[in-house]
Amino acid sequence: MTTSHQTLEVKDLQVAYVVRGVPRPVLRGVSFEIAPGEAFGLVGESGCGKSTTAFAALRYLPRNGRITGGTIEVDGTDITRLDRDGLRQFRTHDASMVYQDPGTALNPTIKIGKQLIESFTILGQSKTDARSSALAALHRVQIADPSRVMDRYPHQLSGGMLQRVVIAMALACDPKLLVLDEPTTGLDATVEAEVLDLVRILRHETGAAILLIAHNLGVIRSMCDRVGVMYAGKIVEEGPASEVFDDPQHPYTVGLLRSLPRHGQRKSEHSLATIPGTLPTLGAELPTCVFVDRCPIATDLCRTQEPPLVDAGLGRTTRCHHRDRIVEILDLDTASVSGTSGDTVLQITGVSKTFRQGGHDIPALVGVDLSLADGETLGIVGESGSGKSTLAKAILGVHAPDLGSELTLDQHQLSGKLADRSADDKRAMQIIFQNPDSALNAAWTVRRILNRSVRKLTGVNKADGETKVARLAEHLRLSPRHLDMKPSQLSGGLKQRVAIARAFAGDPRIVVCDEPTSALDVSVQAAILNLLAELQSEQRTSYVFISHDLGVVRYLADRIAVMYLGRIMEVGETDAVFDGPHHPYTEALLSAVPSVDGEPRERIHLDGEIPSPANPPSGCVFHPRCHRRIDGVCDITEPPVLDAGNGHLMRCHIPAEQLLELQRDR
Amino acid sequence: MTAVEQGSVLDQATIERKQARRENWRLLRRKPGFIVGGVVVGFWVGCAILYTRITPKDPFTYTNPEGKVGPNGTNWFGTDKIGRDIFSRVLAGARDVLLVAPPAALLGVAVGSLFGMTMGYFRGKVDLVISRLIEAVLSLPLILVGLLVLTLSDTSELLKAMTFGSRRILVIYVVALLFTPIVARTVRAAVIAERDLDYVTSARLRGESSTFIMTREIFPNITAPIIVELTVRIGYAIFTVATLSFLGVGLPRPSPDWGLAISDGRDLLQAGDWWLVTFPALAIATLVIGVNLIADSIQSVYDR
Repeated sequence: MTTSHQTLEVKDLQVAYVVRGVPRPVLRGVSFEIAPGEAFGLVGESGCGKSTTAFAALRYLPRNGRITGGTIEVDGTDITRLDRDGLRQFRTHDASMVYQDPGTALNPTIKIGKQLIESFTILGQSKTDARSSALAALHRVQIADPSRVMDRYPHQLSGGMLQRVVIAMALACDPKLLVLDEPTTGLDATVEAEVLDLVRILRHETGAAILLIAHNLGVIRSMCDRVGVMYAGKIVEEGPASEVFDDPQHPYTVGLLRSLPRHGQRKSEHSLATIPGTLPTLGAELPTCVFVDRCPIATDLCRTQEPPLVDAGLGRTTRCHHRDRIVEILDLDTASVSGTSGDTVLQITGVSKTFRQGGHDIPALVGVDLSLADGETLGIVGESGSGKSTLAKAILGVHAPDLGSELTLDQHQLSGKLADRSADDKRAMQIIFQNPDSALNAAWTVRRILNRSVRKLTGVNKADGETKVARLAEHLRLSPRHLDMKPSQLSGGLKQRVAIARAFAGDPRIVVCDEPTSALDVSVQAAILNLLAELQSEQRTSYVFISHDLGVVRYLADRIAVMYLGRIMEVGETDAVFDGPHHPYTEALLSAVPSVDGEPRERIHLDGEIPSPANPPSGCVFHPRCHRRIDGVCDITEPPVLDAGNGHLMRCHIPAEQLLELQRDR
Repeated sequence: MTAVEQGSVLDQATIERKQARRENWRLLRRKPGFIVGGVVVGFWVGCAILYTRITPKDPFTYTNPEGKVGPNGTNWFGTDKIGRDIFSRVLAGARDVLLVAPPAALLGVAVGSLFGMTMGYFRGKVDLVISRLIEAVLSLPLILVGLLVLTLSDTSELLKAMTFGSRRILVIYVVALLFTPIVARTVRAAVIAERDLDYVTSARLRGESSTFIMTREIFPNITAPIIVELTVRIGYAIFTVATLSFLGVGLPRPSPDWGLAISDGRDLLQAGDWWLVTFPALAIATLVIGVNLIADSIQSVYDR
């Protein structure tokens, strides 16, 4: 692209963070450009410099950030040369940014309306003009009932609505450049899909150039015209999104894409590819090719000569010496794991959990029936607030379920309260948490963490405990040096390994995995998923695997349960649930996932938001949002449990055959 | 990931951690507040230890037969009503206050932490009951508590046994009692932030007792706010000890305690005998400011 008029033109940008007086380079010559109305995406592992690039584009670096070279031109103006007033004018009129967490982007003590009006008065509008502009802005971002939203405080709105408000504020000045830094991370897939739809529409309306940062490759693929893949402060590959994702020309891009479970891949087929090694630390000396240490096809040439920017055709560029050998990167480890299941380990019948809050009963779980076989993985999916984690905690006894709930472990009755369970029962069930930072005691060494679990759970003596810890660490590929470190010294992936090792310390029968990879980069996620699959096939452990990432669940789970408002809406073999017939809710969930493979899919729009469990809708709890609801039936009668064959159950008024037909027509 | 590749990254991590620890000290030492506070507190600690050797006169005997005189060549800070050298008494006074205030703060923080951890960990009814008790103690005026304990110490055998008949220990108890509720609240808040973290759930899942979770799992993670609280409390304790002495319910005569000296000289202030009050007051002020400067520096380094 050599058009003379670009909205954003970044040339050889170099940024360093000054740490203890020493500048540490973060961006090492980043160049890209975005035309008006174009959307450009940046992808890469955490720490690669994506966000720094985004902040630099508005010259909004942290206090220790320095632009040490290069230029950033927005609409022809080099913003690296602007003085304070110029920069202020630039940020007020020409560019806006939307951050990851809308909750912290808004002031919690000021009403939405006032904050929104402010972003118009700063542009010189009068109070009354600003007020009508604010209302119009809320209309524009398709918020329901804008005039009421104006009178609300941020905490009274849901995450999706807040992000709409933030977008409305960002668009107030009609910016030429809109920077979105992980705008949908932390939102549910269904909400994410709607926010992305909105951004797509607004982009065409405003003609702003968009710089989108996201770690979710599917989001980038569905949103962006062009994409840049970043690694260690450099863009290693750039080109049209469809070309880069379908036919990657850099080994790193290949590695990133291969570590995702795609195309309905299952653990029984083959394990996920990983990228060995880790990103170089901030400011480290880099070899000639930044990726050389982790590249499977690197040669001596890569170590002696910096790879040039190669034109790879179809508007793509890549920084690789060996573009012709990309095809050689094969799945190094394609060993599959067998996922045979045996007898029932855990049976839960009529499990309910009611919380009391301010004198009101809030049923978080309502009559959940599930069974888990020996060596089986049961995936649990659903939007946040659907009761997934509550179910996990009820099974573990952390939140004792209501009276009348029945839990049976290995044919014996299990007490609901953790304190009443026997040592053996406690040992039988363990958990792996989402966030390894809070899951590990920061004040303890890894050795102490593992040792305590081994000894407490198995009751072995000191010497045997130490042997067992050493074996466990070896098994989880933790080197002996890691054992004497504290969690804060380990990377995210290593921390999660420690957490997994702890869960396996007492040879558990069941391990509950509560979003175990959602805080990790995709390459690390692949390694963790492989490890979980491996451990399962060796030890015949059963998993209850909670995740919002349907690709991950599909890869790992043998059976899937779909939850909504504390109820199981559908349960069945993974293939059956994914292939259909689906419960209408499952159908909507599946359609909301942005795919990295870019398969065109018509999205099902879910009306409104998940209702409060305190007063669930009548009849079928899903009916107010259901696109297939039958008025007069679904809103009055509770749906029966349908059997679509082979243990595939769903709660719906529409017969399975008819659902299958309806869904095939789409 | 192979061990070798992880190794290089982790070496870096170890180095960085060591650097961070050194960094804490370096930052602390570079703070002007810490240096000034350290010099001032160091001076008074030196006085407390060495006062018998460095005081120019004996602080307890009547060196000036004329009784009260203003500052002059021999008595730099003047003498008090009965002719004792004020300069020597101010230096010697450091000993009493430093023997009482830090242990009192330590005891208050220890007991307060214990209550705070219990409240924060168990919440519910335990929290409710202790919280009300704490509010009750907080509502008592300082002088009332002081008088009450003082009276009781004369009659109660138990209190006599607990203090070994020493007024210093009694003052330590009073100050600790006054501090316990305040510390308990701070620690309670810190524990509440920790207790819902997943590592605590994990400990419960492997069947750990509440005592174990509180003392071994949570406690090591809340030492930073406790240390900050301790340094802040030492500052307040110096002040409180002086106040108790001033009110006549603290250390007894003939202690050279600063609060006591101010109390004794107070009625002569209007007659123009300013030196009786000014020098002990300055002593209190410098020590409290010194301790607070150190406390502020430590807090800012921890909060970094």
